[in-house]
Amino acid sequence: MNESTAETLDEFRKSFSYGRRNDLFFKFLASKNFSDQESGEILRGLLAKLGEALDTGDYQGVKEYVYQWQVRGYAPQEQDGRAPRTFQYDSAPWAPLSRPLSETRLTLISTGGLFVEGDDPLGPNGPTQEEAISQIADFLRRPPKIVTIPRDIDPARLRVRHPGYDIRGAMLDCNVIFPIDRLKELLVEGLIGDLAEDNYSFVGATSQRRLLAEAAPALAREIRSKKVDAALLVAA
Amino acid sequence: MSVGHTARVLEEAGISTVCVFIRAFRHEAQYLKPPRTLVTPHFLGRTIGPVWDTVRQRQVVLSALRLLEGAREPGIIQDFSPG
Repeated sequence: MNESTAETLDEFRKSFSYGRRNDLFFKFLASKNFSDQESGEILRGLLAKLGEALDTGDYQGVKEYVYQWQVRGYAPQEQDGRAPRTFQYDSAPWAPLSRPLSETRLTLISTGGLFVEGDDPLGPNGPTQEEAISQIADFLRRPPKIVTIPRDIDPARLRVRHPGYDIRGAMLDCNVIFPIDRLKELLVEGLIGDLAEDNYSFVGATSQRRLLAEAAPALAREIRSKKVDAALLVAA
Repeated sequence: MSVGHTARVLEEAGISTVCVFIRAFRHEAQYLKPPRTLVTPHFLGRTIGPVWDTVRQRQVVLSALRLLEGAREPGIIQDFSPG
């Protein structure tokens, strides 16, 4: 690479967030929270931790290091006189649980973008994960398509597609984002009264206005019609 | 953000909710104020816990459900503690 085409560190780190090196696990490297100098230090530190782990076989230090920087990468920036956030509330609604957990009928909702094989909410020729990533702006403009996932679904039939996070973990084990197996275990143990036949997922990267105006109220009506008392919601 | 908004709408319809967020997005729960939120120390896309770590996943789900049952005021944000 000659001088005229040399890549700056800033260009390099930003290429991990919807750029030519896109990697949704490491897209936090592109955070505006990091200066060039800090980005260099992050990478130097990561290589140092990796070197230690390769010697010892213990990768806990690598995990903790990456986690710490992921949290810092997503931290909100100071307002600095900029416009306030579009969605910010002063109070929370409140519907206290009306019965003990052991008598409660529960449903599971995940914004992880799961769906059942053969029932793609974007049609039989819906986009691949890579195509979805390239369409992130379209996802953020569209209303969400909420899909039903049966309680007794064979995990092998679950698919995951989401343009905003790294789905590799969820593809290996859906419970990291859709803990249906853990809930079924708690049901067998009697810790929850019932787990609804219908559970739900959609892509959280969506139009918030349309979610609030249309999709979420429709979901609430459906859940109410099925006599479900409570919902566990998992953010992706 | 979508989980927070969905929880708010469900709760307004009389359905009790509990949300699980990762630490990196704790600020979203602070802005959106879902009724009950559990915050976990996990990576993006692994909110409930690491792949195949059934012990941690169970701890998180149980903690969320205990928060659902035990919270006494709206807008509570609780950090997950495995102990």
